[in-house]
Amino acid sequence: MNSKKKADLQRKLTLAPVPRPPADLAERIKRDIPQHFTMSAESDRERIQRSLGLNMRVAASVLLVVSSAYLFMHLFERKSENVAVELPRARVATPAAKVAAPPANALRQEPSPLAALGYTSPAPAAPRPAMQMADGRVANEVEHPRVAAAERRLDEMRDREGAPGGVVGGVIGGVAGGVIRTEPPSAVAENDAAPAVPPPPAPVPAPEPPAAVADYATHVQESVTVTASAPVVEQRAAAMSASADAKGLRKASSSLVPEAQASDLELGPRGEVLGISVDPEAFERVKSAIERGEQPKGVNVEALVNYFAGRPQRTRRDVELQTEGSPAPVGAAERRAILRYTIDTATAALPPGASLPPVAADAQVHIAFESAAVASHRRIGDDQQDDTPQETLLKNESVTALYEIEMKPDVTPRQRVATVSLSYRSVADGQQRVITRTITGRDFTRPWHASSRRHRLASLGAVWGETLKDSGPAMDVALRAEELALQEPKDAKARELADVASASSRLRTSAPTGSGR
Amino acid sequence: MAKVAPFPATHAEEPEILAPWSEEQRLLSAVRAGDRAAAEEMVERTYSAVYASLYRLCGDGDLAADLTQETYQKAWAALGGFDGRSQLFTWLYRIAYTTFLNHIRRPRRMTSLDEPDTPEIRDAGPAVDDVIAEREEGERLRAAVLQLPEDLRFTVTAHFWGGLAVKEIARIEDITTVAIRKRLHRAFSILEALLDEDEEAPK
Repeated sequence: MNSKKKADLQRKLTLAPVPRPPADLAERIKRDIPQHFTMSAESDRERIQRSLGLNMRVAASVLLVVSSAYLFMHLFERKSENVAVELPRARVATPAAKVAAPPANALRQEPSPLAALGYTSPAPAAPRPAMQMADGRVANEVEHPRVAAAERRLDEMRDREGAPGGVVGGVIGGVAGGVIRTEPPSAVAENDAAPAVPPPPAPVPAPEPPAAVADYATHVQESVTVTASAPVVEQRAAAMSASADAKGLRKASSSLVPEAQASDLELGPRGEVLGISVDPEAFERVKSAIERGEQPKGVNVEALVNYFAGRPQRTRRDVELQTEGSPAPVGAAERRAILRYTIDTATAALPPGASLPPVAADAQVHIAFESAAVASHRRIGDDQQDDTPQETLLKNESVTALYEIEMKPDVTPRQRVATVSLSYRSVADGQQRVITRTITGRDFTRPWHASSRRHRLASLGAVWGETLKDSGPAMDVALRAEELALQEPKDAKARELADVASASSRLRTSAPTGSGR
Repeated sequence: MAKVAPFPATHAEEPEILAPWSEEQRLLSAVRAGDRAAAEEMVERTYSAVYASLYRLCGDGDLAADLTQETYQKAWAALGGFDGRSQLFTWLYRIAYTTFLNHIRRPRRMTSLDEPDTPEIRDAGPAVDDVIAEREEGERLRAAVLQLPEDLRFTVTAHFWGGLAVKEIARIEDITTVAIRKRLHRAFSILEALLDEDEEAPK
């Protein structure tokens, strides 16, 4: 076919005349438009089937994995139980909290068939203190039916043998289940059938529990209480040194509550808490200098604040946060105010020299001032940043920080002035906690003498301390302190402050001036 | 001759100018969502071209109208199965072509391919003899096309009477464009032979 003919054919095909469609054709077609369009049921069905098939396959795989894991764990657990059950256990009837001398019949040192297998009682035959397991059970008494059955077999064996003894001392320790490294009872059963039993070794006299063991027991008790898993105790262990065990337990518990380790605890009150000086000797040094007629040098105002803020007689919670605000006690320029926060930890009755147990870990204070209410602020005694470092809080501790703030005009009573937050992790339960207190303008509308005793003492002590460092209204401070002492006649600290403030003011007024020489 | 409704493309090689792809997809989605207005818009956009294709296939205006209506009835029912990979008119043309084939295979009175309807002719226009000659030639051509083997017939009618591009036909036939062009070449050869035989046949 030549190209001309082809082109002609194409032209005829494309240019074939076509009449206009009937006028009503469009309307007829539109009338046939259905109300609802049916989608392809087949394709939808196929799609659903495919997705369903996939989902079923995935679900089956997940089920298989979960059931396999469960079966494995179940088998592993049963195997562990079988191993524990097959071994003889100790029947130590001591109470959980006591470390007592072994009862007369608690440990039978007479030879037992088990001894023939090379199993001997532990050298410190004294009963170990029962270890409290995580679920509250006493580890010494394992309540497993198989264990009870094994016990009964042993008792029967002993009765048959005529030997009264045979209860082996030992402790199944640990939350995870003890693994006592002795021969399985199958050997016992075999020996039971043996015609001759080898002569048992000589009985080991029950020694007195050494002091080291008692200490160890104490450490064990404390450590087990705190930690989640106790160490495994071997039945064949010879006398263990208490210190070595304590170290081992500290290592075991270090990951959980490092603050509970004995070696990390401080023995006495600290000189600084959360970076704030609480030196109890600071006041005595100043007082001594004043009494000697000397101007005190190196006045630690922070420590004076804490000395006079003191500590409450009782606390209701492990950690308490107090906040308070008031106008400045003396010489207050317009809108000068004092803001205080105090942290008190729980009170613990401890013998003198005893270490202070921790109560809160990673404690930190954050204070935020509202710029709409506060023009400027400074921490009295220390111009460091407002947030404290993270530290551990111990029991029987109190720490107070004071801020002098310049209020903006027209602060309303309801207006927020500052927010103080104390975050810490409780040693008791490991929970993270945050205590937040908000100080509003209402605090600063009351006169200074309407504030709490603690606040008045702390703020006056601060002002007095600062007058010692530089020239200030020492007489006004003394007068204010005297007023405070009169208001609180039974308050020894108020009296003390009044006396020392008065003495220091006299010291300053009697100091020779340069012009007089 | 009355002015024909706009046909998708006069030149077979030029891509047909229908609604832009995105617009077509929007329309389709709206129709699927049950938007009647979108369905009516779809009808307005396409029914002339569908009618023209069917007219070229059957040669009868009334039949073409009926087949067009039937085509859309089938289209509404099959809308769920349309995946949107091809153009909307391509899909409609396939339905129309199948509808035509089903019609001519029905065991009932069929419109004879030898007796097509006479298109509306105005008195004022070309000479009557020329028009009649042109009409008769068109009829012979249509008859020859319908005598082509199925694959060639579809290719020719889709390309020249449906206005589908070679690429589009290749897509729906699931073959290459080279194969489509080969089909067209073969179809032309056969058509030429058929038309030559028709000319040589005794009148």
